[in-house]
Amino acid sequence: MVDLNSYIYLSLILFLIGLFGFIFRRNIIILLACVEIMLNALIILFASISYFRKDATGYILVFFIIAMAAAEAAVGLTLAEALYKKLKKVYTEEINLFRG
Amino acid sequence: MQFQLNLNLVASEIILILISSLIFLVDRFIKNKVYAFVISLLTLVFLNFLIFFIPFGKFTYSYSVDFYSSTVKLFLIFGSILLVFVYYNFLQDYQKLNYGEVYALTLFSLLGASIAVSAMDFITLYLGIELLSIPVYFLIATNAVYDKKNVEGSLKYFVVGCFSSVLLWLAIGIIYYQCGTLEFKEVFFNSAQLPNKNYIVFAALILIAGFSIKMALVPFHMWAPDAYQASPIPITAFIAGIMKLAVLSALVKVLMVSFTPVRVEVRELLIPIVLLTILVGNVMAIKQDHIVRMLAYSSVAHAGYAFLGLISAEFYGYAFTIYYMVIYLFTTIGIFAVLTYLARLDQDYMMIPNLSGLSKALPMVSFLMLVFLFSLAGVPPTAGFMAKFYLFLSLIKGGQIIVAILAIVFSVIGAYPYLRVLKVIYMDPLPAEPSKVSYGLTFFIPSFVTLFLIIILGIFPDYVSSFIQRTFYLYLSLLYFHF
Repeated sequence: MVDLNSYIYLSLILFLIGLFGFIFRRNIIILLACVEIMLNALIILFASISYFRKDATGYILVFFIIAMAAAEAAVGLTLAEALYKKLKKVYTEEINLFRG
Repeated sequence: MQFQLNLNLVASEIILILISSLIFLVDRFIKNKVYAFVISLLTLVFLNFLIFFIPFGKFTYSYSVDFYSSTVKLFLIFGSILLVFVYYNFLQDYQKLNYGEVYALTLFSLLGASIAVSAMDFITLYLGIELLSIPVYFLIATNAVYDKKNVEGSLKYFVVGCFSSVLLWLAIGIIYYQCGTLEFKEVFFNSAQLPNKNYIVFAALILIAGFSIKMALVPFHMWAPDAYQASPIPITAFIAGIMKLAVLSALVKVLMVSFTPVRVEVRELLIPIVLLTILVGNVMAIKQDHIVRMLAYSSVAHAGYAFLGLISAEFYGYAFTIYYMVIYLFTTIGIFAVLTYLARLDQDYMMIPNLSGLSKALPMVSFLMLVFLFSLAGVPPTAGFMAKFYLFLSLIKGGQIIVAILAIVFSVIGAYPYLRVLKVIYMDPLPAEPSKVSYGLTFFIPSFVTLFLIIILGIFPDYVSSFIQRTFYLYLSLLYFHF
């Protein structure tokens, strides 16, 4: 039987992976993927707390997180596609038209 | 646990959903886009009266209509009525943006704002905040029809906004782990009984970080000028005024209801953030040449001023925070109404040096600009001065004298960018007589209503401030009486 702390460490490690990817990677699509990784880490956190505490709130939150992640991915991909179409740019360090 | 579905409590939200969906549906088939303006104006005016008649109560435990949410919604909807005129005035000359969707997305965003301020539950709060911000990404990105690089501002805002929602979920996760519940009042009870409050303080810190991305406080302010410059001018007023008021009042509600046991620790954490916000916002505003960028940095600084009320860690300080944001909302709408008129004349007027000698050509517009900029800088006969005065008063009563002195010094620095614009307008020579566009009622209504409010609230600040104070008093006493 795996205890709650192991799940929390797993979700912490996944969250940190996502966070470092979000900070250091340069491709916009990979940035969005890193946001998804962080949200998945939080899904593991909520589901495990819910399982060990015998409380249904966490399971319901998981569905909210999945729905919001889908909505955010839709918006993000739309904007990334618009950026590529209008300006032919994919990498974050090329996004430098506004200054000051 | 009894479970009630009082649909009459959410009447205003249902009307907002139906009207904005209706505009989305019929917009394709109607050529003359004035209909969207008329529908949204009538809806908002109707809602403004409806707010007074909606009874107080709870809709399924996570959504409550009470003194606090009704008051904030009243200000939000009143601001939106004024903003809709600015939208119409702007879209007359910018025909490529003139679609019903601009109004409909704004109504959706307003719906998110009213959900966020009446949430009694962290999930509802989060969903309200997301619904508030997602339409705005699209509204900014629509401006790409005029300049391709505007997509960039929208994308920057989106990436940072994504990170803010991740932070909010993280804070909710920690609260759920510690307290086992997500309802505001139960979080208050459970966290008051915890032996070790460090995790709750950490959760409050992450929650404030998530909110401060939406409010553009200092470590996360970099998106603000780009997004503000990229968006169409009325949308900028929406982001700077209505979004900030909604997000800040949701945050104040969370801090007031569920984080009361740790509010002294939260205050210690907020002091450096707030002072840095005021300093960086004011200093960066000095060197900007684009007036919208200047106002963006000044809006960073003003969010910092509003947070000074939270530093006092007293409930009257929280009320003055809301009061400050309401005054800032009116000032923002006024100044962006004037800027909309200038942008209709000529896009070049957005650069500050090009405004030189405007007072000789357009004396009325220059005078409006003068009053609004004085209110932003905090010069006495205007409402901005009284709002700042109340904040500093609550700080000094809360015992934070050094913070108050530093904030006053920084606000003296912050007067420079506004006075520079006024110097260019009033003292520099006029290069050539500009062409004129007729003013029209849609220019007069928002600018003169806000002018009237700013002058009146500067001389008699008591009406609105004691209204908000009494709202807070009644809200808190009812909340704690119904344990």
